[in-house]
Amino acid sequence: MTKAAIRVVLIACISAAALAPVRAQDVTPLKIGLILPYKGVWAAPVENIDRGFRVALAEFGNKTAGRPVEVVRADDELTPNVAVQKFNKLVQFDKVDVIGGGVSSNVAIALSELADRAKKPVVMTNAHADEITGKLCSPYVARTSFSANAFQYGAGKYWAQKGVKKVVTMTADYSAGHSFMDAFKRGFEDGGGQVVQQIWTPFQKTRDWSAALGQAGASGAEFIYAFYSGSEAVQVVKQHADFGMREKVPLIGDQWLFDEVGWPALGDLVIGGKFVASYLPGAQNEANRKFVAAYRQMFNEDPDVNAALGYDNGKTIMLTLEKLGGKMPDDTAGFMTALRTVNFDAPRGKIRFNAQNSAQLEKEYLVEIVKGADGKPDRRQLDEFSGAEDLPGCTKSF
Amino acid sequence: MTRHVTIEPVAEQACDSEPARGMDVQRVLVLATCALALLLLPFISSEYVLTLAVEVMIAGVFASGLNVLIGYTGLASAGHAMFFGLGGYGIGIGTAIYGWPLWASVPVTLVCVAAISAVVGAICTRTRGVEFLLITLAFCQMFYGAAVKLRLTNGTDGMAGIPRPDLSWLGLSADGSIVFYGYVALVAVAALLLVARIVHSPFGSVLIAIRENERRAMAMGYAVGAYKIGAFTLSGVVCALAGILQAQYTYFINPDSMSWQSSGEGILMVIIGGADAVMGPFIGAAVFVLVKQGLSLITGEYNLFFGIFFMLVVAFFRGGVVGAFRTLIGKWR
Repeated sequence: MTKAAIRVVLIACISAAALAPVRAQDVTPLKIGLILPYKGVWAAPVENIDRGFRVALAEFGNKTAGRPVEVVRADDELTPNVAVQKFNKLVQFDKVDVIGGGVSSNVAIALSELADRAKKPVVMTNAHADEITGKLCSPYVARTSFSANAFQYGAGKYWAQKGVKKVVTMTADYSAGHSFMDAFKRGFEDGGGQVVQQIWTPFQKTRDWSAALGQAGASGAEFIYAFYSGSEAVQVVKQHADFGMREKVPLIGDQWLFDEVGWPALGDLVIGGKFVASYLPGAQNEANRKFVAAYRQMFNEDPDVNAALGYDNGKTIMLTLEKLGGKMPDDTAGFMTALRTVNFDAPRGKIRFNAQNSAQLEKEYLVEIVKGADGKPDRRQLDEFSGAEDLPGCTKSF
Repeated sequence: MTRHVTIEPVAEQACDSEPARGMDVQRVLVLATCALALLLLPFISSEYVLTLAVEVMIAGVFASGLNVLIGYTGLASAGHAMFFGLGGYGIGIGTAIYGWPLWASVPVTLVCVAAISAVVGAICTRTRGVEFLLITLAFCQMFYGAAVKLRLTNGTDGMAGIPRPDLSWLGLSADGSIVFYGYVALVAVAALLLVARIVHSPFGSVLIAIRENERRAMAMGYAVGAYKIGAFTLSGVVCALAGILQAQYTYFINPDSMSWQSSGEGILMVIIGGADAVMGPFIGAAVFVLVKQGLSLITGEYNLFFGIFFMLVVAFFRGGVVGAFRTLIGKWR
């Protein structure tokens, strides 16, 4: 090769190298990390969260301000230490711009601490523990669902205002159980009712609820308000019916006690069940009609509450990114500042954020399970009422 | 003292079949390579590699602590995650609840864990074999249960905001990956040297004698019981040290770190690396963390393949990775 030829090749290489980053800049996708417990006991609801998230991104054509959006998924295995590893992988290896997901409260607490130190925005899907946007609040952590207090205080107050005087609560003896039922108790008693007894059962260690149900039956309460999830929920509903308590002391719960995932196992027992929900597919509003149609088109079934939570999470992230012109600001706290101004009509009702980056629960629904036209169980909305404010406790100024 | 000396050559033989001098050169070479690699890593690798290295070193300290018992004393404990967890809880309680500074919380934690492990060890080492395995597991579950129930430490939610060392007087922040890597590397090397020093001391020789033939050690006049409690305590304290590092690495501690799965992972690392070498558990930890990480990049079902990998190691690598390496060198010579 002659000198001139070498020179030409060299110049070509250098200019190509110099141009490459510029071109790459335009097409580099914006990356969202999604940390969810994909496998294990919550696999079924988490699949729906992920689907809801996909529907939200598809609504924007998987693009923000012309820039493609890529989702990198990670399984936290419901274990904080694993979640920390996955967080580090997403941030340092995959170089994601923002992280969504976060279901169980222990994982969420670990993640929020990391987000705060690494200054990486984390937008939680579920993570209802009050501390997330209370005691442990961080300018880098937001939540698109609702706090335990918003949901259960609202539910408690509603029942008291409906004229119910005495209630017994029943749940598993662990952190989420305590924060949910304590919030219900506050709401119920502020509304003028009385929680005659709070029953705590061993968490994931029992399949026999006879003692607890016996106590509840003898407590003189008008109904049992319970929070259980997964297989525990199915067993509690079943045994409650087996003891013939359905007429005397009905079992009323929240959306996890009568989770749709458990319906096939319960058969006709679900008919007549009443529960408080943050979302139902039959909710009468424009945003929900669009969401249900999109979800049906993609997955050929109705979305459940988990799908709605995933959708709200994805949509909040996308709306924030649009406000920022598809770019993560150098000061990543700017992402949350933009997120706080996001305000949209979600399938569950209006979503807006408070000063601690926590989504507010505009509405809660009282739902009854009825037999649908096709003989399968279906939801019927009985009433709607407003959710409560979050508990105070955030000490950081944003 | 004299009677300690008499047992030493026997123990050396039981430990390494290579001639002593060749082993020394080899050991120095291996150590020098490791030290160089540790020093160079921050300059040649990405932030993520450093994070993985931190995970490897923490797991390595944990496995080394466990190996004092499994490899050297011949007692397989299925409950050492309790000390791992107690380390993290110790500094969590010290700093968050009592408001003590970290430099006070760490030694207090280690002393408390030493006391607890001495008591637990005194009870557990009265048994051996499967009974020892089960009673350590039972103690571990007991501490796990207590951590789940304890409202003081937020039950299953655990405690967030575990502090890393304050290095502002050096103008450094331990939140940065490189600085934290350096800190963990220093602690890990110190812990490894301590373990190496102890297992190669007369005390360690007695432990090996107990492993090889407890009755004979007893017949030679050693207070075997006290030695076993000593080994248990030492291993508990080293595991607690690893727990402290882990809590600082994740800024977080919750009961999961005391689960039996976490104890089991420690045993896996010891077996993969090779139980009869000081570096064995470290190499086992490295293989454990990196193979798991590599597999999880390829498939979500990585635990299945990791299980197969572990079976292959047990089936084909006698004495773990280190043992296989030694056999290979032996053949090559």
